[in-house]
Amino acid sequence: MLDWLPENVSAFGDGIDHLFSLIYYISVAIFVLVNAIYLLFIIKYRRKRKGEKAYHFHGSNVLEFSWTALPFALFLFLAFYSDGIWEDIKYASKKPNPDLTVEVMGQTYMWHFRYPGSDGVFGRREAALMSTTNPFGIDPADPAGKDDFTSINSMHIPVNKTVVVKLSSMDVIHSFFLPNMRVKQDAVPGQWVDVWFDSRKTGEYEIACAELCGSGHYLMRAVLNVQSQKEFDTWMDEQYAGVLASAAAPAVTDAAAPAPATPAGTSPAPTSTEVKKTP
Amino acid sequence: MSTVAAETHFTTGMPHGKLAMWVFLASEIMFFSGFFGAFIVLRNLNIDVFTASAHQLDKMVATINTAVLIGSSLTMALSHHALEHGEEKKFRLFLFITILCAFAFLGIKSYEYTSKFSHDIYPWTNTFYASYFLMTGFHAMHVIGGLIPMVWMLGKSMAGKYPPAKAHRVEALGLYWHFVDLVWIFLFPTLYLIF
Amino acid sequence: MHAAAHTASHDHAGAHAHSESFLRKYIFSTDHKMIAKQFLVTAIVFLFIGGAFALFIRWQLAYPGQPIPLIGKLLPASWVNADGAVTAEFYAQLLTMHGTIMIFAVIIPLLVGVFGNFAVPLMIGADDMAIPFLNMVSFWLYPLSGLVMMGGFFMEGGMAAAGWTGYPPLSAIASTGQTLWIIGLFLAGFSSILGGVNYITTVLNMRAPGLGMFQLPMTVWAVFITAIIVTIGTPVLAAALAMLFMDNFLHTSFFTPAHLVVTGKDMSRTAGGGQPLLWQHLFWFYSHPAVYIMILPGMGVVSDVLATFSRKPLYGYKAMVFAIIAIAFLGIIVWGHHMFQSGMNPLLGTTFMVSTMVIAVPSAIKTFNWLGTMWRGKMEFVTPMLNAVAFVSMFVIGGLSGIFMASTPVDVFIHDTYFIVGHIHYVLFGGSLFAVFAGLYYWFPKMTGRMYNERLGKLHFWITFITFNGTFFPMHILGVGGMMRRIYDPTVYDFLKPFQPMNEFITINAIVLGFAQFILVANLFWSWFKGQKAKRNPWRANSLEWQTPSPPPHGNFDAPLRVYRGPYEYSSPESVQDYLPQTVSPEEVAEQRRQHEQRHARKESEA
Ligand code: HEA
Ligand code: HEA
Ligand code: CUA
Ligand SMILES: [Cu+2]
Repeated sequence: MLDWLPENVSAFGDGIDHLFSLIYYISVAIFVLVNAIYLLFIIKYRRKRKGEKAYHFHGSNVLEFSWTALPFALFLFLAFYSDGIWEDIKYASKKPNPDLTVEVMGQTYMWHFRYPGSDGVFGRREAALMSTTNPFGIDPADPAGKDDFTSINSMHIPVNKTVVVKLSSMDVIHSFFLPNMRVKQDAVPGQWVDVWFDSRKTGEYEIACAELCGSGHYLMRAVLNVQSQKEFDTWMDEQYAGVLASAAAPAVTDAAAPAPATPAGTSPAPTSTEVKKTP
Repeated sequence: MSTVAAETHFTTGMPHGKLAMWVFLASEIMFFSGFFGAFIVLRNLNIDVFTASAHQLDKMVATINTAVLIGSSLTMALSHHALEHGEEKKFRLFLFITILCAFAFLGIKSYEYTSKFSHDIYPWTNTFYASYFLMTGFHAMHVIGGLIPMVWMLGKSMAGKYPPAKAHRVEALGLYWHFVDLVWIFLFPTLYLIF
Repeated sequence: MHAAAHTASHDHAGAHAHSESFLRKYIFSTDHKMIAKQFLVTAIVFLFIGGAFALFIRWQLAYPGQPIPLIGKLLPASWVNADGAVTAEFYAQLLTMHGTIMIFAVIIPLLVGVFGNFAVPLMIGADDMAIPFLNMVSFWLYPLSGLVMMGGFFMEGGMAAAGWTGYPPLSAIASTGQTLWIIGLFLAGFSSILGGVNYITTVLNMRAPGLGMFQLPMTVWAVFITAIIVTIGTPVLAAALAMLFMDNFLHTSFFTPAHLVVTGKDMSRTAGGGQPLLWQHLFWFYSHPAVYIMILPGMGVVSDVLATFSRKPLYGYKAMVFAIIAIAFLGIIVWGHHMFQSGMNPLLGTTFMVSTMVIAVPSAIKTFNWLGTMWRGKMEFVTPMLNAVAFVSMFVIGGLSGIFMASTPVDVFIHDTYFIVGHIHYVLFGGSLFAVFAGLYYWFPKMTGRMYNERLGKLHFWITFITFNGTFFPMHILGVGGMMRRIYDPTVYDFLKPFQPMNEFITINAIVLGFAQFILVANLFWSWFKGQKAKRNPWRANSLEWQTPSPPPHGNFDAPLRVYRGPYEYSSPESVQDYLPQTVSPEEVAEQRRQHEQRHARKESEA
């Protein structure tokens, strides 16, 4: 059954998969045990003649106690064992210091990604400034933001580097789901959450939305591009060049003005990789 | 129910109506707890908005209303006591006063609401007023919910159809009425005073 | 309430004068047995509506965008596109209403409404519910709520489409259908509360002389504890719904933060300042206990059925009772396990994981006691027993899948995948619904005075059992594969394309499963009028409901009752037969024994 799991390429995913298989084997064992006894009884203790009497017995405290204590112990073990791994992947205190930080903004039905650009720092953003043309609410006045750039439904990260994603949403709740990195985190409007992961393997992976966000929920698909550091850097430069170019020309912000994926039903998701200068 | 009562014994010794009322009130407590819980969360998120808005409320009017409602609780108790002791005239009198108080409370409340509206303050103005209208609104509905059986009882009694044997129902209604009172005792400081 | 008591007493008087008008008897009846039947019929109708929705869902998932065969073209244009395939908008409505209907209009009414109403007063030797009028109101609120919930069907924008969990802001900015969903749910909650108050009062106040709390059958205990959860949990949902209503209808901001930017929607009126997670906390504070509302009565019914047909005392009666109580009260502190990935503080995640793991213990206790009950029994596999046996096995699967999700790190991956959907159906269908089947067949003779058709019963069981597993087990695999819930078309994702054959397999099973339910309906309604007459006590069971004619007269019992013992004295050495009703006095037992021995002695002297 576990063979059906999508390939895991993230170091942070190993703990999850390990726990998954552990619980899997425990519960299979229990299931087999319980049902074996069950079938045995079903076969063995059938009524042969009408009115024949069964064994008149009300129960035993020893047994009651033992089958209370044993599962209890097992469950507590599972809980505390799980918690170790949970802390590593979720607790803010365990947050690794990132090689790359990306801001991700969910919008029906697309993902916006924002990169800090060449200087590595994000320009100021303010919720009040958020609009369909400025999903992150970026403050154009802040110089630090001049080289920031955003893209839609396309995320690029370097291989073997720790990435921290700052996650939020501009309308309803979405959920940032990376099957191959074992990442899932709801994107809640009005709230920024950090998630971190890495990838051992280059290639294209799918990003899905896992929280019902409207009739186009199923269309909210993005592509994660894991590249070698070199390819990644060249990509960054291209984006940066694009930013400068459009900085010269009048802002082409509308190029990225959300044309929400219309859930026609059969039309696949627009995985456009438009890149735009910040307003 | 009296006939039912005649047939079945009460295992707990308490009439069904009264027991059911206690259980129902437990449920009611959880209902308002939901509102109070939300109120606390929202207050911590918007502390300034809440303090500012709370100061716009009319403490004076609310205090009067509190007095009115507590008074009605008292007369309610007295009317039950009267009926139990067969003094149907007194029962009607006190019940009548209780009803007056209830109407007074609603009147004052609606005055409060209208004065808010006249200042362009509505539920959607901010989260404080959303909570304010929600909580006081549901409380007012509970007051109305108590008024209806009271009027009905008074009518019956005036038609001579409300013998002391039915006192246990007045008692059950009394329980409800005290609860409605109690909710207000919590609402009053929460909305008007603590900020 | 006074009005209540009033009419109640009148109806009662009327009843004894045997002057019941048709309206009084069949429509506005206050007799718990009739109300139970009203609940049953209404719930079955809703089961088919909800089920039909599920079949539409299944068709779309197996054959995305392909026209629905036969009926596709006949469906309203708001549901399907030109060539008769479900639209994405309608799909969202389907899954929302499927979940809502199945939970609030099928399972809860079936377990609490039908068995609570029918079995509880009879099993405690009462002549009716404590407050019959409330009981009637509680029933009539139920179909009303169901219709209001679905009312959006006639509205612009269709029915609610935010999932049965109705998370804001999505639900707060949604169409009229959502508003009606909120109102409908509020009514359903009110109906539940009135019912709950009534059950608690009845069990506490109307037990037959001699019947102590620890002589109650498990069904009564389960409904009693369930009623407690209902009365303290449901009002919190009601409060949350009231707030959501204001957000949705008056543009307040309990659950909506400031500066929302919604494409094509003017948000200028919403001031903001709210917290989306607040709804989730309030909702799950009710809805987790609600899942136990949906299993405890089932567990009670199954315990009684297992004991009766094993001809054996229920194993560890007290442990079973305390397990139910433990589940009920632990159930109030685990709601956060639905919010592990919601952005809630991970520290809370840890605490909720621990409490969730702990709450599995009482379920374990129950499972093992059921095994103990069957151990060295003399089992008789009639239809109720088959369904009860299936319940235990299916519940174990559903429960074990719950453990995966309880482990926060594993939940990171399987949250909002089909693994959850698998879990839902193993506990709600494999658990609750099989328990309902068991109970229906078990009490059918008492309800209608006629026996159901055993052959049809067995047929229905086997088809359901097999196709049920065929439908829902593969969903776990889909979940492990990462398939998200609530998606209209899995083939949009490359990593999900390989699973299409499995989706088709599921759908085929689902269709058979669905249509197999017609066997149940046919059996019930045919037997109701044409089945062979049932004896007083066809199962030779101990509890009180079997010590009165089938169906019981108005007022339930033809002779005054006195209770001498618990309901599980099967195969007792004291008695001559393999059962010992609660009402038979020790003297009678001794008497029967004496006569039996005399007959024995005579035989020997003749030999
Ligand atoms: C009848 C209804 C019912 C019942 C009884 C349960 C029982 C349990 N549920 Fe379930 N649950 C639902 C209905 C139910 N659930 C529904 C409807 C949802 C989805 C809501 C939505 O739409 O999002 C849900 C979702 C849900 C989640 C959220 C998942 C997610 O969204 O990410 C979680 C997480 O912890 C969970 C856990 C559990 C656990 C631990 C139990 C435990 O009580 C199970 C205990 C039982 C056993 C463990 C088996 C028997 C025991 C033994 C055989 C003993 C030996 C076993 C061991 C020692 C392991 N459930
Ligand atoms: C007791 C509760 C219960 C029951 C019995 C069922 C029964 C079924 N459920 Fe459901 N289900 C839920 C509770 C339940 N479900 C809940 C709570 C959710 C979550 C909703 C959400 O995400 O918000 C859910 C979600 C859910 C999904 C996920 C949808 C999604 O996430 O996109 C699916 C998909 O396969 C599904 C399938 C089924 C099927 C095939 C059945 C079958 O058992 C149905 C069998 C059919 C019948 C019993 C009647 C058949 C009717 C006819 C034969 C009439 C035929 C006529 C026509 C077709 C016109 N259910
Ligand atoms: Cu965004 Cu689902
Ligand atoms: Cu739960």
